[in-house]
Amino acid sequence: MQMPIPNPEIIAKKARIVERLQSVLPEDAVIHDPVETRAYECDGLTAYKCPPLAAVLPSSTAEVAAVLRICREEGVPVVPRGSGTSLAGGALPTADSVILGVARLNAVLETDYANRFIRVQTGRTNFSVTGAVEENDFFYAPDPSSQLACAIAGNIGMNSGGAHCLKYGVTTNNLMGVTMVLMDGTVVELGGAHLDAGGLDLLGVVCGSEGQLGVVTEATLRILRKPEGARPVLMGFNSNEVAGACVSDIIKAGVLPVAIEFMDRPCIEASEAFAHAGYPLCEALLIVEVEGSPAEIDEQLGVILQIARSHDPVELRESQSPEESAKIWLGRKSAFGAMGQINDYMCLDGTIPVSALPLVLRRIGEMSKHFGLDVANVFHAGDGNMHPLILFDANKPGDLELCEDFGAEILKLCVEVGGCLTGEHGVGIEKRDLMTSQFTAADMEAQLWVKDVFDPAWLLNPAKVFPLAITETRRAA
Amino acid sequence: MRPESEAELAEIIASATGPFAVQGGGTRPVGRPVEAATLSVAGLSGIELYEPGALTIVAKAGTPLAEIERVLAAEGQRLAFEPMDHRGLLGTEGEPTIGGVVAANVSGPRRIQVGACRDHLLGVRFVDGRGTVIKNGGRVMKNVTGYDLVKLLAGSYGTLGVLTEVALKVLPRTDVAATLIIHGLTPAKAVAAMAQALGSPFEVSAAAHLPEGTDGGPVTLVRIEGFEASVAYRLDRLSDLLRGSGEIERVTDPDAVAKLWSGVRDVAQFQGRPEDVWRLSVKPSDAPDIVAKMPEKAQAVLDWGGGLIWAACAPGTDLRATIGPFDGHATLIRASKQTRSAVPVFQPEPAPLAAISAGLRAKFDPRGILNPGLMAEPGGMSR
Amino acid sequence: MKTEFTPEQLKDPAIQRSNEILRSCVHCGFCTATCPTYQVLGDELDSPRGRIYLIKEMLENGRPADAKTVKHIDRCLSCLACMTTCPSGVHYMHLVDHARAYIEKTYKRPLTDRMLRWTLAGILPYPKRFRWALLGANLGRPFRGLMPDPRLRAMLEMAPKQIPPVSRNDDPQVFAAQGPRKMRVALMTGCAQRALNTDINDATIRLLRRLGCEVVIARGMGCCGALVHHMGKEAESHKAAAANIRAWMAEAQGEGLDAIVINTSGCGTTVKDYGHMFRNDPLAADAAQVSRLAMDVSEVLMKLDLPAAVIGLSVAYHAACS
Repeated sequence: MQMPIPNPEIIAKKARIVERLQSVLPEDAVIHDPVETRAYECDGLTAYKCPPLAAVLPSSTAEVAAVLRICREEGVPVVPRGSGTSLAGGALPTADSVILGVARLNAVLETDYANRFIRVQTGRTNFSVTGAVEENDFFYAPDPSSQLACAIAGNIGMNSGGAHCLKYGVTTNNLMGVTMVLMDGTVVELGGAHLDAGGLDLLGVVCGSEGQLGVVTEATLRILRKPEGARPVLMGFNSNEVAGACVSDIIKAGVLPVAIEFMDRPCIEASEAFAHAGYPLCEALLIVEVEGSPAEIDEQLGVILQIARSHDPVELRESQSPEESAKIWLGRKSAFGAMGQINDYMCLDGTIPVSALPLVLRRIGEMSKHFGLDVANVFHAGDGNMHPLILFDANKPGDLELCEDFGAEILKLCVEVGGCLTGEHGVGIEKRDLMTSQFTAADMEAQLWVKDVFDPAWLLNPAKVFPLAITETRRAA
Repeated sequence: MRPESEAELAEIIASATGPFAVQGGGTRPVGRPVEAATLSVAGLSGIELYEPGALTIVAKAGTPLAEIERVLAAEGQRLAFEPMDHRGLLGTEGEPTIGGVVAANVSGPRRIQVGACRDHLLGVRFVDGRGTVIKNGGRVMKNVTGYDLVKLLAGSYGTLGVLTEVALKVLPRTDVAATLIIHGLTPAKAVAAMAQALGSPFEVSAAAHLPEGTDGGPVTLVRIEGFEASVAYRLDRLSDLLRGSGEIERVTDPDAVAKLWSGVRDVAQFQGRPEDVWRLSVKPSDAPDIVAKMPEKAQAVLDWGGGLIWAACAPGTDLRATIGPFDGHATLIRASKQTRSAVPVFQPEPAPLAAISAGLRAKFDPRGILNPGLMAEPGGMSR
Repeated sequence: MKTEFTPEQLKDPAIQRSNEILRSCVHCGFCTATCPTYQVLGDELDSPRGRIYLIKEMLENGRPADAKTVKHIDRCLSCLACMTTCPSGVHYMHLVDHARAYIEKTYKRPLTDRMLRWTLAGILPYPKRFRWALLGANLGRPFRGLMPDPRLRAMLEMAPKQIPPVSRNDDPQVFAAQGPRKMRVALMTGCAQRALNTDINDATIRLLRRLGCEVVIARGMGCCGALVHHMGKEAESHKAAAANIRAWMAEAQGEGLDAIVINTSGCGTTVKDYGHMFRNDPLAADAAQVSRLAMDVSEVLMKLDLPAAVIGLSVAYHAACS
C-alpha cells in the first residue's frame, strides 16, 4: 500500500507549525516529540504505519477551528481521529500531516427524552452514549463491534453499522445533526433536533465521508426507548446453503428479527475453543434475535422456529433465560478475540446480496486453498454484510502481502455478485486501490467534486478513500 | 422531451443548448417555477430486479409508483416510508413515479418509525448536467464504499442530476394496523401525549394531530402495526399509558385505519382549499409554540408526533417571517407561481452552507441546465 | 501485532515473554475504554494501547528508557482494568512490569524523583516506619506550604489526622475457628493497611472465624512487594515476595493451608502473580503453589456457606478496580 510522498517543505517548517499550534492549545494538547508521535502512527489496522508531524488534542469546537485555520494557512494535511479503532486505516497519518484527535471532546451536551435525541461531543464513545440514557430505558441503536471504545466521530466518519442494524439502521439513519468545522475554520450546523434536510441533504453526504469534508465536533443522535425484552435463538445447520436459505425464508415470512448473525465452521470451532459457549460443531450457525414483550417474542419465534425446522437443523436452541442469551451471544462476540489467539488476522467487510451467500462462501473456501491461508466467516446475514477473517503471520515475510491479495480477491468477488467493498468499516487506505473495481472514473469523479467543494485545498485526510493516482493533481494543487 | 433509455437521456443532456424542467409523473410541482423545456423521465420505466428474500427492489426512475407497490404487495412487502401522494393537495394529475418520490425525498407518517425515503434508498444511477452517467450506492443494505451521493441526490429535486434508476430497501407488510384516537386535545397536550406514546416501548408507527376530526373537534391519532396478538397487546398498554390525556377511542377496522392515515399522509384536510400550504420540519416539542405564532386564520395539521407541521394560511403569506426563527426548516409546498417566485420555497441556508450547496450544483451541473433555480432563493443565484 | 525483535534479543526470557504478549495484541483499542488515565487525559499515550506501543518501541530498540516514555508508563495505575476488557487476552500486567524493571535499570530519574521513590519504598511497606511517618505528617502538616515538591505536599494533605492504635491481631498467631473447622487459611495482613486501617484485618479475622476458618497470621510475612514492584525495583520486590512465599509455605507444609486470604485486591493481584515472577527461580514451585492458594476474601466467602440474611439490610458492594 502506497502513501503519498510527504511534502519536505512542511516537514522543514515543523517547528513553526508546532509553535503556532501551541499558541492556540494547552501545552499537553500538542504532541510533537518523535517518541510520542509514534503512538499515533496507526489505528486498528497495524499493517501500515507512519508517525505524524504532530498530534493535537483540542477540547472545544473553537480549538478545533483554530487548529484547522492554522493548518489551512500552513498548507498542512489534517487527519481526524476518533478513538483510533478503524480497521481500514482511516486515521493513518502521513509524515507531513497533523493528527487531530477528538478524544477530549467527550461531554454530553443535552438529553431530550420528549423529543428523543441526545446531543454529544463526538469524542464520546458509542457505548457511553447509551450509557448516558439507559437509566431512563433509552438507547442509541447503532452498535458496531468496537462500540465500547469507538468514538461517535469515527462512527459518523465511517457511517458505522453493527449487529442490530437490520431493524434500526446504521449511523446515517440515526444521525439528526452535527456541528462541523470546515478546513478553513468555519463552523457550520447541519440538521438538528428536527428531521430531514431543508435543502440539499449535506448531512447525508458528510456521514460516511471518512473525515474528508470537515471535522465533526458535536452530534445530535436519535435515541430510542428500549424494547420490553429480547431473546435469541441458536440454529445449527449442516451446510452454508441451507443456512442461507433459512435466512432468506425468515426475511420473506414477514418477521423482521433485530439481528441475524451467521458463523461458518472455522469460526464456530475457533470461538468454541476460546469462549466455550456450547456451540454445536456444525457447518453453519445462525443466531436470530427478536424483540418485544414475552408474548410478542413467542409469536415471532414461533414463526422463525417453524421455518428453521423445515430446513432440518442439527441444533435449535431457544434461550430460556438471560444467562442462556448471554451464552448464545458469547461465542459470536468472542469471535475476533478467538481469531487473535490463533494468529494475526485481517478482517474484511464486503457486503453481498443475501442470495449470493452460498456461492460466495464456496468461492472463499476455494481461494483459501489457493492462497494457503485459513479464513473464518462471521456475517451479519440479514443485511449481507460479511466479515471474512483471514489468518496470517505478520512476522513471516510475505504473509501480509499474500493475505492482502487474498482479501482483494474476496472483495472483488463481493462486487462481482452485486455487492460492495465495504459495508461498515469504510474504505480508508485498506480498500482505496480497489475502488476502481466498483466505480467507473465518472462515478469517482462525482465524489471528488464533493470534496472539492467542502475542502478545496484537499487537506483533510487527503490520501484516503480514492486511489492516489486519481486524486494526485488535486492534492498537489 | 421524453427519452426511452438512459443512453438517450444522457445524449439529450450532453447536447442540450438550453435548460430543462425535469419531470417524472409531473404530480409534484414543488419549488420555484422553472421556465424551460420539459424533460420527462417517464419513458424510463420498469422494474429491473426484485429480490423479496433480500428486501431489495431496483427500478428505472420513471416506473409508476403504483406498479412498484403492486409488485411488492404480491410478495407481502411494501415501501415502509409510506410515500405521500401529492395529487390531492396540489391538484395535479398523472402518475407518480418512483424517481419523483426519490427526487423529492417523499415520506409519510411512518417516517418517524422507519426513516425517510432517503433512509431506504440504497443506490442511484443518474445523468449529471454534462450528460455523464454516474452511479452511487448499490443494491445491498450496508454500503459505505465512497461518499454517500445517494443521500445527496434524494431530495435534490433534479438539480444535481436526472435520476435514471433507483434501488430501494423494502420491508414486510404488517398483518394488522390499529389506531387510538384521543379527542379534544390542544396542540400542546397532543404533542405531549404523542411524545409519551413515541417514547414508550410499544413501537408506535405514526402519531398525528388533526384540528378537525370527523366530529369536528381536534383528534390525536396514534397508530400501531404488527401481528394481531401483538397489536392487541400494545393497544391495551398504550391505552393505559395515555389514559390521563383524554377520552380514547379505538379504531381496528382495516379500511377505517387505512383511510385515516392516507388522509394524514396526503393532508386531506387541506385538499381542495384556496390557501397556501407550508410544510415545516421542527423539533416536536416546539410545534405548539410555532402553531400559536401562525397567522390567526391559519390551520395546522401535525404529523410525526409534532415534528412535521402542515400549515394552511392565506395566499401570499411569508410564514417564516410571521413565526420567526426556529430549529428546523419550512418549505412552501402549495402556492401560486407568483408567490413561489417571490417567497423562498425552500428554507434559506446560512451563507457557508448556501455556498456549499451552490458549489455542489456548479460541479454537478456546471451549465446550470437542470431545474435551474428550483431550489434557489428569489433574486439569488440561478442555482 | 508485528514485532521486530532479533533472535538474539529473544534469548532473554523477559523479552521472549513480552514478545508473546505484544504478538497477541491486535491494537483494537478496546482497552482505552476502561483505562482511568485515558478517560481523564484523552491522550493515546496515556492509554494501555499507547503504553504498549511505547514499551514495544523501547524494548525492540533495546535503548535506554527516555523521559517521555517513563512519564506515560509512570502514569499507569496498574489497576489492570484494561485486561478485563481486552478481547485478545493481552497480558498487560506482565508487559508493564517488564517495562518498569527495564526503566529502573536503564533510566536515571531526576534527583527529586529518586528521593521521593526512595522515601516511599523505605516507608510504606513497613508498618512501623509508616506509622511514624504518619505521626510526622501530622506534625508537619502546618508547614506543608514549605514542601518543595507538590507531590509530597499532596501526600501530607492526604495523611489521616487520626491514626488507629496498633492491632495485636496482626501479630503472628493462630485464631481458632468458631464451631467445626472447615478450612485453615492464612491471612495476608499487608503493610500500609496495618498502619492506616487496622479494623479491616480485625473484621476479616472475625468473619472468617465465624464461618469456620482457622486463621493463621504467618510468621515472617510482610508486604506483598507490589509497591516496589511497580517502581521496577525487581530485587526488592522479589525479596519481599520470597519472604512471604517462605512464610506461607512453612504453614502449608506444616499444618496445611486451604487458602491464602487477601483483603486488599492490589496485593492479591501481585501474590497471584508470584508464580510468574519466580518462574525462572529456585523458588518457582513454591511460588506457583502460593499463587494457586491466593484468594481474594470475596472468593473465599463464595466457597464458604454464607448464612442466609436474617436481618433485612441493604448493602453496597464496591468492586475493587484491581
